[in-house]
Formats: sequence, structure tokens, C-alpha cells
Amino acid sequence: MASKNRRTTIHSEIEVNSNSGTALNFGHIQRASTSIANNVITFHALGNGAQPKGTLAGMAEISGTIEWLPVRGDETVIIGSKSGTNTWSVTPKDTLEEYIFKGQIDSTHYAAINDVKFGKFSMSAAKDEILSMSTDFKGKAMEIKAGTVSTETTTKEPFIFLDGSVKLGSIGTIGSVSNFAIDYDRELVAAKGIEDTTGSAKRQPTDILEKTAEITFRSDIEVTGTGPWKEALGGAQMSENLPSITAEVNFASKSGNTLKAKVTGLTIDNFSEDENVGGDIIVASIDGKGTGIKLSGTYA
Amino acid sequence: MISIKSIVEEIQTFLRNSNIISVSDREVTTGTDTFIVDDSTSEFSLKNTGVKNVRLVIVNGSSMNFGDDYSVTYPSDTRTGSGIVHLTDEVDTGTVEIKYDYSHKGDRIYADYPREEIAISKYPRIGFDIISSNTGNLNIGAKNQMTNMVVSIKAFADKKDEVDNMMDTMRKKFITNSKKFYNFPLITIQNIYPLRYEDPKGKIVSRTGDFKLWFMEENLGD
Repeated sequence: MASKNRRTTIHSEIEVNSNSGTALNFGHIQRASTSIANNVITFHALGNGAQPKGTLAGMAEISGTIEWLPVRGDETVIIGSKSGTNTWSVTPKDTLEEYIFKGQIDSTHYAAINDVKFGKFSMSAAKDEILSMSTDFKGKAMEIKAGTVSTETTTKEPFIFLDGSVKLGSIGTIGSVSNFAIDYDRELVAAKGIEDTTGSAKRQPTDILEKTAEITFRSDIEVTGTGPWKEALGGAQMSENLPSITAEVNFASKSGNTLKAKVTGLTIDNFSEDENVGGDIIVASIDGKGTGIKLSGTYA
Repeated sequence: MISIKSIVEEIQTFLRNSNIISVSDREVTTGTDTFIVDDSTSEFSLKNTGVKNVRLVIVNGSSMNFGDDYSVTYPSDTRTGSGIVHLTDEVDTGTVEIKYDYSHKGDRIYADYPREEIAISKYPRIGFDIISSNTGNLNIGAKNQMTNMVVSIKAFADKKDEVDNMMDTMRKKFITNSKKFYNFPLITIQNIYPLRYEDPKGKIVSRTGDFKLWFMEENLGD
């Protein structure tokens, strides 16, 4: 028997606009979440016995996530500044822009999170998977509003692995890349000072602060040469200084959009490989830290 | 939108064009029609009836790509009907050459499996069908879908070696052309199955190969 509360329409529309009103196109959104932590504490009092005296709501932490399959790629502007139009590039900037996130709740209402900053941006793909991206964000205020939102969507295809490549470093042959992931993490902190505010403003963050970026590249490589070992050692023998290399990821969609991600100043941090008697292909897992990232692409 | 008819027709045409079974064994004739164009047109009715597969379309010396540059309406009566080639862009003047196979006797490669009563002289044959199709929403809001399919292709002959030669050629052709199809972006080999006898006396043997068709996207609209 059908539940009376079953939804009969497909909502799940997500809209992200810059504070100046420009809509971001996140391609094919797979998942989005929002959360609010009121940081409630119970307090006690002497002579009160076993029962808490009451509860207090602390500063609210408002956050969320988005996962999507990119079609254009320029939505990566969430981490920095975009230049160009049909041929574009995105580079990080010190202070992140603020956006408005809206998620449809039912057919007549949506939840809006205001003054949102996107703190972590990740992109990854494996050899049988479509290129995917994800981000998390923090905002200053959440409200429920009447109205509808509409996903800035597209009918074009996402970037598929058929037209992808990953290049890493320059020391010899690397092998066949099974998967990769790039993370650009600013680690946001919702902050509020002791200020003269009233009402709900007492509990809302006044600032979303961003830390210095942590840029990481991870990959599993089906090894066909000594390259990954040398990248990790700094040469044939362990060297004092490790090489600074570049990881370059290229993708294209069937409809002709292109996307490139470059992690520069990359130094291998961890390296591991495992061999067994089963005659398995040697897979080396590496991860490294970079000092720069640049995303670029073209529209067909 | 995805068209099963179009997918099946493209695979059937590909298998026929790939000479996995020779033209003589298929009992078809390869012919070329040449059309001199002096007034804009995009439709060309082929001169022979019983059209089985269009191999090549050349417009003013340039080869056309199936799907992007041209499509084919195959005759509903494959023994007596004619076929029509539709160019995506009209040709104003010049020459259009169309190479195709035709026959009034049938074929040996079909998008279904052979009937049991077919005589041994009518082998080798190839039959195939879509055995599974998996569709999932590509985004929230149900605006786009992505579909992957598995096509099972079966080669039949009265000799084991002939069956394996057909399967080897098929694998090679699909590997070489894995990203060149119009109705699906990629085809990969999934499984090759053991030889089996098709009849109690063991006169016909067969081997099946499963091939996966990837990333067919459909826009469902808002």
C-alpha cells in the first residue's frame, strides 16, 4: 500500500548562483546534501540533581556537498577566478567568492544557503568510469523559502574515459593509469566573533575563513616501467631532494568539450606496491602534494 | 532518444560490411551506384532491390561517415525492396557513389538466430541480439539517462575452425572500430563462451561472444 507521504513529483533541483546572480552549470548532478549543526549543549546547575537544567544552542554550522559529472568544467570557478569564455581557464584565488545554494525540498519550497564558499574541490576518474567532481561548502545562513529552483543543466554528454589521458612526471615509463584523484582543499572555518547582534544573527557565522590550500594528487598505476619508483626515490637511488613534477589530466566529451587539470610542483609523498604469487599486474599506488593547480577547457 | 532498431541495424551492417562471412558465402553481390547531381538533393534511391548493407558513400571524392553524414532506409522487404540513402547535407552538384551489397536470396548475418530447419548448406551464419540493457538516471531531477547494453553475437558453422575464425575476425574488427560507431560511443568485448553443438548429431557448432555497448545518453527534457 502506498504511503500517503510518498512523493509524487521529482524535485531534487539544485541551483547555485554567484552572489551577483550568475548561475553555475554543474553538469549532471549526482548528489547534493545540506546539513546544519546547532551545536546544542546541555547545562547543569548545582543542586539540580540528575536532570540537566536546560539546553543552549551554540553557533550554527551550515554546510553541504555536491557531486556531479562535469559537462562544461568551468563550474570549477568555485575555487578561484575564471578567464576567457569559450576557451577558459580557472586559477585559485586567495579569497573565495561567495555563492547562493538552493535545493528544492518539495514542489513549492526550497532551502537556500547564503554566502556559501566552496572549500574542497575534488576530481577523479577510473578507467571504466566517467570523470566526476565533488565539492563541499559552508554557508552563513540557511532559510526555507517559497518558490522553485531549476538546475542549470545541459543535454550534452559528460566527460568519458574514452578520450582521457593522465601524464605524470618525466622519469621514464610510468605505466597504465588505473585511476586518479585530484583534491584542492581550502578547509573552511565558519567564524564569529563576540559581537553586538540580535536574534538569529547571534548564532550565525559572520565569516567563512579559508585556510592555505592543500593540493594532492593520487593515482594507482599498472606499472610497466621503473618510473613510479624513481619518482618516489628522486632517481635510481634515494636522493636528498625529490623531483618537482607535473600531473596533467586531459579529458574530452563526445560532443567536443575539453577539460584539462594540471597539478604543478608535485612531489611524491607516499609510494607503495604489492606483488604476490598470483601473477597479478603490479599496481603502484602513489600520492603527492602539489603547489599549484590550473583547470582549463574549451566548449564545443 | 535511443533506438534499438537503429543500434541493431548499425551492428548488422557493420558485421556484413566486415566480410566475416565472405560475399560469396552470403550469396550477395556488391555493386556501386553512381549518381550525377546537377540539382540540390539529399536522397538517393539505390538501383538494385534486395539491399542488405551499404558499405560506402562517397560525395565528390570524400568518404562520408555513417550517422553524421548519411543514414540508410533499408527496404522493409529485404528480397525485393529498394533502399534509400539520405545525406545529412544536400549535394548541389557533382558525383555521389554508393557501394552496397544486394541479393534476392537472403543473407547469412541477421539480428536474430537461425531457425532449426535451415540446411547445413546455408551455414556459416551469424546471429545476434541485445540480451541486456541497463539504464540509470544521469542526474538528479531525472533529466538525462545513461544506458549500457550487452549484445550477444553467435557464430555458427559446420567446422569448429570456421567458427573460431569468425569469432577472431569479429573481435579484431570490434577492437579496431571500438569508438567509431554512431549509435553508441564505445563497444568492448565482455565474454567469449565455449563451443557448443547446435544439433543432436553435432553437425553445426557455435560460439557466442558478448559485447558491451557503453554510454548511450538520452535527454528526457525538463
